[in-house]
Parts: sequence; structure tokens; C-alpha cells
Amino acid sequence: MKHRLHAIAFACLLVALSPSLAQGPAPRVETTTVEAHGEWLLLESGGLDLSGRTQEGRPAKLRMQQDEMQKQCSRYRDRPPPEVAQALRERARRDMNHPSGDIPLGDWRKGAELARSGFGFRIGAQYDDHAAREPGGNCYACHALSPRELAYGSIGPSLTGYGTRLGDSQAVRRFVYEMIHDPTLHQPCSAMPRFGRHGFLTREQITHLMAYLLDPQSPVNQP
Amino acid sequence: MPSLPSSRPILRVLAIGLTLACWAVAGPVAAQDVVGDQRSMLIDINPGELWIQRGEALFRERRGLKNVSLERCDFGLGPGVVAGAFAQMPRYFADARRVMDLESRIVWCMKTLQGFADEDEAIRLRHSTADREADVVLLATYVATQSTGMSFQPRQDHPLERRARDLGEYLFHRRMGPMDFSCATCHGHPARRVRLQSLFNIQDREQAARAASWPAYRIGQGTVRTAQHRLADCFWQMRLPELQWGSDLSVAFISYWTHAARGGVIQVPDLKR
Ligand code: HEC
Ligand code: HEC
Repeated sequence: MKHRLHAIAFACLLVALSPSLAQGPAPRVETTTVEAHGEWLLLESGGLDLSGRTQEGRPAKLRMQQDEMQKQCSRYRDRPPPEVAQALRERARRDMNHPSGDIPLGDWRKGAELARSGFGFRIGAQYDDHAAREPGGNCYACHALSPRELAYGSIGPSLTGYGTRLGDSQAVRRFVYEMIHDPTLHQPCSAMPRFGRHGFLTREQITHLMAYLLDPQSPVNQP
Repeated sequence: MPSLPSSRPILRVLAIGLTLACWAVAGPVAAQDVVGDQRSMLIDINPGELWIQRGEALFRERRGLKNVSLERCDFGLGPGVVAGAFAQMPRYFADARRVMDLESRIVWCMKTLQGFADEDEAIRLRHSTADREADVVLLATYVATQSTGMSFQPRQDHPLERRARDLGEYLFHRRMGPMDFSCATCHGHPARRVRLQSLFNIQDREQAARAASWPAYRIGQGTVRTAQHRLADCFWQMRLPELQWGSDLSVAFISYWTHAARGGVIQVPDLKR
């Protein structure tokens, strides 16, 4: 009985989220703002497969709903006025769930793999199977890291020699942890994803990446 | 495996052969401007050119339930006029009562003129696979190349044409998903790169014109791809739900980047990495 109820609830959910069912007629241009029309296109027009499966097990539709940071940063096109920036920073700080005590460094070799890998959380026809492979942080997409890796992106600053430059104090570790967990703690509309906050990377993975950046043995800190 | 029309495997073998040859000539890649180098190496031998003729033949072939060609398809300049039609798209079509990009319009004509149904392979397959070239890709390549060398002049007369562009702009700057990206994160700033791939900047007309120049032969994929395919690819990279081909949502994005390319030169079929 319970199972059947679940099945029915699930079926209803599928119908409710079904992409082929646009909910109601398209908004009228004369009476609808661009913003409201845009939200309708994303969430109600059937333009996206909102009922598709996700690795986190929640409906894909939730990925389209913006949180406060995403809303404000969209609104101000990543240049929030000072008071909005301050409010976002404070909010990120409130939501921050710090590891207690000293933060350990993990294994830089694992960190190297995670920094290279762009695998994980992609959905749709080519679905990333996390059972086959763990998600990575794809840091090389945006940062230079090891001086031997030439295929790096330029959206973020170069992190080559990061540990050599900053040393490895608990204060540095805390900052790096925070940047990977949620860079908006420091830079409100950062282009860098909030890897920890979104559950994209686990705490343990973050410590491996920290080791990749800070461990003197890591290629990042070798000439 | 579905049976292949005879000319297609040959076309693919040729294309792969050319690409390999070009890779060999291009030699080892440097960190800077790899795309530019690849492009200039291949400039005289763009395998995408091979899609044009085949696309034209398909365009003129009598097909579908109604056994007619696409020669009466109206791309906005009147039935049968393809010269310069792509240059003014996306545009509003009164018969469909919506703004359409080139690919959507082709499928519209395949349905309404030729009588194809959604289940038919001819329109069900929107992107080419290892086994089969998608008809839409071949047809889009043919029609788009009839505007090669002209400049992008997307229409903005109808309120829905203006709205599609504005929606695209709004959506382009909307940060979303588990990576917090907007399109502008990658395409809203000068000289940004993901790994070695240079990213076009929407604020730069010439770069936007290049970005709007689809279909294009994608070297890395060994086949011709369309604007809809590129857009869905970026959605996938952003970890967003699967974009529905030809949706008003997709047309809004394409409208926005085509408006950003206004006055820039159309270069199709382009050659991209
Ligand atoms: C989409 C691009 C992007 C990706 C992917 C990315 N970053 Fe960043 N990162 C940035 C940007 C941009 C900054 C500059 C600060 C800012 O604007 O937030 C930054 C800053 C940093 C900093 C602070 C540098 C300083 O100023 O001291 C660290 C550390 C860092 N990133 C680590 C990482 C790691 C580790 C990964 C992979 C898990 C990663 N980043 C992935 C874009 C990115
Ligand atoms: C994380 C970075 C990233 C984001 C976010 C992103 N793209 Fe892209 N985009 C790329 C890359 C990488 C390429 C391929 C560039 C190349 O190979 O030269 C590309 C290519 C393109 C192209 C073709 C460019 C050309 O010159 O042919 C278009 C158009 C485009 N993206 C549109 C979009 C739109 C619209 C969005 C938002 C829905 C978006 N992109 C989001 C990374 C991104």
C-alpha cells in the first residue's frame, strides 16, 4: 500500500514536471516583463527536461531555481553595489559550516586528479555515472597550476607556486578551504563555483585539492 | 545499423581523411591561439564544404508523404528564396506564430510541406551520429551558406523578435545551476579561455559573428554541428537540465547572440575546434 502510494506520488511528480506539458499559454508580451517571461521559459515552457534524473536524486527542476547569490549576481550582472555585496558575504558566512579544529591537508596526488577532471553532475542524454567515477573540480579549466601543464584556462588567476608564495599556515589553509567551499565568502559574485556549498566536492576531496595547492611536494610548488 | 544513403560514408571518410592530414600538417600545438592556427591550416580545405552539395541535393529532392521538395519553403523572404534568408534569422513567422531559428524553420517545412511526422527518422534525428548524418544538419548547411559573406541582420520589426532578443539577454546573464555559471561567466569578458579554448566575448561584434556562424565543421567531433547543438553542449557543461531542441528557450539564446553579431560577417560553414 505504502509502495503504491509512493508510486502514485512519483507518477504525479513526473506528470507535473513533464517537459512536454507547457503550463498554460505563453505569456503576452504586452503584459509580461522580460524577467517573468524568461522565468516562464525556463521553468514552465517545456524548453528544458525538468523531470530528468540527477546524481543528487532531486528533480532536475531544482537546479534551475536560483538562490539569493545567483539572483542578486544575475540582477547586477556580477557587479553588486556595496551593500548588496556585503549582505551576500554575510549570508555566505552564516551558511558556512566550518570544519572544527585544524584543517588537515589530504593527498596531493588525489588533488592533482581532481584538479584535472571535468567529470561529474552532467545530466541529460550523456549522464555522468558517479558509480563509475568520482566528480572532479576541473580547476585547470580556469587556473594555471602545475607549471608542466600547459592546457589551462584564464578565467581565474594563476595558482602556480601557490604554496611557495603563501606558505602553509592554518590561516592559509582556512582561506583556501573557504575559496573551494564557497568563494563568495570573499568575492560575492565570483566566477568560481561554490564547490563545497553545492555538494559538488566533498570535504575530503577539498583537503586533497588543498594539498595539491599547498604541499611543498606537489607539482604546483615545483619548478 | 540503419542503412546509409550511399554518398554519406564516402563523405565522412573524406572528411576524416582531410582532418587527419591537417592535424599532421599542423603538428604539435602551442598554448597560444591553437584555434587560430588550426583554422588557418585548414582554411583552404574545410571538410564542412562537403555538406553543402549534399544538403542542396536533399533540399531539392521530392520527399515525405506529400512527395515534394523543400523548394517552396519560406524562410522569410518568400517561398523558395534561400539567398540571404539566413542573414535575417531568427525571425517571426506568421504561419507558425513564433520566432524561429534556421533549424526550427527547416523542420517546420519538412512537416508542413513534405508531411514528415515527429516519429520519422528524417526529423527525429537532429544531430548526426556515427551511423547517420542528420538531414537537418545537411539542409541547414546548404541554406545557411546561401548567406555566406553577407552580414548578420536579424530582424527586429515584430514585437516577438525584439522580445526573443531581450529574453536571450536576460537568460544569458542568469547565474544558475550547481556551477553558478551564467553564459556571461564564460562569454561576457575579453580574452577568457577554458583550458586552451578561447571563449568568444558577446560584447565584441566580430567574435559574436564568429560564434553565430553555424553550421560548422567541428574538428574534434569530425562532423558538422549546428547552433542548437552548440547551445545544448554549453547547457550540459553548465550541468543544467537537457535543453529541448528548437524550443522558444533555445531560440531566445540564438536570437540574442545573433543580434550581438549584427553587422558582422557570416562565415558558414565555419571551422571550429
Ligand atoms: C569557472 C572558473 C573557476 C574554476 C573552475 C575554479 N576557479 Fe578558482 N578562482 C576563479 C576566479 C575567477 C578566482 C578569483 C577570485 C574571484 O573572483 O572569486 C579564483 C580564485 C581561486 C583561489 C584564490 C586565489 C587567491 O587569490 O589567492 C583559489 C585558492 C582557487 N581559486 C582554487 C580553485 C580550485 C582548487 C579549483 C578547482 C576545485 C578552482 N579554483 C576552480 C575561477 C575558477
Ligand atoms: C564554463 C564555460 C562556459 C559557459 C558557462 C558557457 N559556455 Fe559557451 N562555450 C564554452 C566553450 C569552451 C566553447 C567552445 C569554444 C571553442 O571551442 O572555441 C563555447 C562555445 C560557445 C559558442 C560557439 C562559439 C564559437 O566561436 O563558435 C556559443 C554560441 C556559446 N558557447 C554560447 C553559450 C551560451 C548561450 C551559454 C549559456 C547558456 C554558454 N555558451 C555558456 C564555454 C562555456
